[in-house]
Amino acid sequence: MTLTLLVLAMVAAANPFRAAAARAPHTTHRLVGVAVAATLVLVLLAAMLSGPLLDLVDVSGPNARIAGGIALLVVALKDTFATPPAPEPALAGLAGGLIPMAFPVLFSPALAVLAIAGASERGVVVTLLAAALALIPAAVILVSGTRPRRMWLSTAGVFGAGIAALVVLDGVYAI
Amino acid sequence: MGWLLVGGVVSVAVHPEGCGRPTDAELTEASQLAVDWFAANLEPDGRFLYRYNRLDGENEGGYNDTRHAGVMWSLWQAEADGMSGAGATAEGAFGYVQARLVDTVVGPAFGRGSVVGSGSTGLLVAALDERRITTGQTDHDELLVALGHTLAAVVADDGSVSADIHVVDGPTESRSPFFTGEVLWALARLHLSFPNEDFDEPALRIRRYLVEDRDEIESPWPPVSDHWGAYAFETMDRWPTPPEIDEAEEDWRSRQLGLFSLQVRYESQRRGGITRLTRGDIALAAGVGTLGEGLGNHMLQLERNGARTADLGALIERADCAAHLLVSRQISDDADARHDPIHEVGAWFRLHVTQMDDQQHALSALLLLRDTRNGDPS
Repeated sequence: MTLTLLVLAMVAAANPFRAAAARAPHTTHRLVGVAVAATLVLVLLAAMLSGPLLDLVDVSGPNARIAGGIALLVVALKDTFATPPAPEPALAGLAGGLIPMAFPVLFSPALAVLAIAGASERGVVVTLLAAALALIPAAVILVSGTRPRRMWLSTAGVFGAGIAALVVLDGVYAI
Repeated sequence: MGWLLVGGVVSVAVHPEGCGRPTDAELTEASQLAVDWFAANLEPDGRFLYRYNRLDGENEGGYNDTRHAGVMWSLWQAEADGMSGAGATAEGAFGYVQARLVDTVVGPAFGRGSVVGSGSTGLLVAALDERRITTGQTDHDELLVALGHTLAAVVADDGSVSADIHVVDGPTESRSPFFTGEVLWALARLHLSFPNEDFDEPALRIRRYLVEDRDEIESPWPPVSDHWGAYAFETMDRWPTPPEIDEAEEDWRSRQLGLFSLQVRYESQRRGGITRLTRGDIALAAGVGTLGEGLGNHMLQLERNGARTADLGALIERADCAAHLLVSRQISDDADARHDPIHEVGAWFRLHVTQMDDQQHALSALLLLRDTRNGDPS
């Protein structure tokens, strides 16, 4: 999986329009910063656990990529067809950047599986870098306070489904 | 809810892979058991027990000349690798061949009836050439060269290969997904053994066709998973002046390795129980064996050309996995036999049935994969 594909897959996994739809009113820049940082920590943990975890469940790197693609497909289809998420009750203060913004909004199950799959092929550092790049659009949209239209989220979901197909094929054709 | 849904879908799509790394001793033992199966199931006329059902202990009959020649090749390969009794069994199997060498308008070929296969002739060449190398005996040289010229005659100008040879009318327009690679491999071997007979020219023609045109013309989808082509490429790499691997060939090899690997990864998820519903029953051992053969040959070639173990990491994992699947699925003990240990021990069964090519491809794969570990490029 190329770095570009990994970044695009992670962008789709942390769909910025989904994050914006779930954004609570009065979210501050600091709260967004906490959310992004916390998400990166979760990605780092998933990436670091990649080897032991895949060994534990007897899944090879290429099959982990297939799993990542399928996880992304499920999330992308949900983004395409399901009702956009409503703002959720947040923890008080900066902890609101952790729950719900970092988890479960940005750190979706697809991002978790992609972090595991990406690290198995490209290592922890590259995977963390990919996640950092992938979270930039979400951070920008969250900071801007934009309220996404339904069609934007659906379009991003369709984009995510296409990327998911590429990730699955990458795993299928890998050695 | 989202996490549960994704987890559920992913666990259906991707199962644990039941892989492992058999020891060299386990590979040797499984190979010897397969050789012993052939020795025990060789009939007086030189043919082998072809298909056997262990559920009712029934010999289901049938025979296939291409597979007979393939078995002879594997046995000579085993003899070269030190397996006890393999050469003697292969010599016994030659009796069946002698009675079925047919004179066609383009030369002798191995088969029956008015139409004989180029594939059976190709694999016979591989077997006899391996015998020549292993024993040093040259008594079949005249036959080998004559068979080689027959094979050269089935190669069209574009490099495509006639699957059938009509005894009177000569090569037909028929094509086979596997005979192309078999004929290529035979000609490649003959060029090593008889360098002055010009077998390299038709071999190079087939090589170009196989890489550039074959899939598009003969099998647009799915592409042929071509273990015989892998044998041929490995052999041509040992020519005094090996053909250079160009971009198209590199691409072809990458796709082939991807195909072999994908199939190994899929097969390793077939672990019985609920995976029967999601992955189906295990594949024929012949099929799994061909994956090992394809991987083994390409790995030998890559190793010879300086690929480091680190570069081959994923391939080694897949090769070990294929070997593990074969070793773990073989009937290796009399106590595991349902009817007759003679027909069962050393064999691989799928849905209670074994066919001699199950043992053949599995045996060749196990020996090749052992060779790749020992860096044996011979």
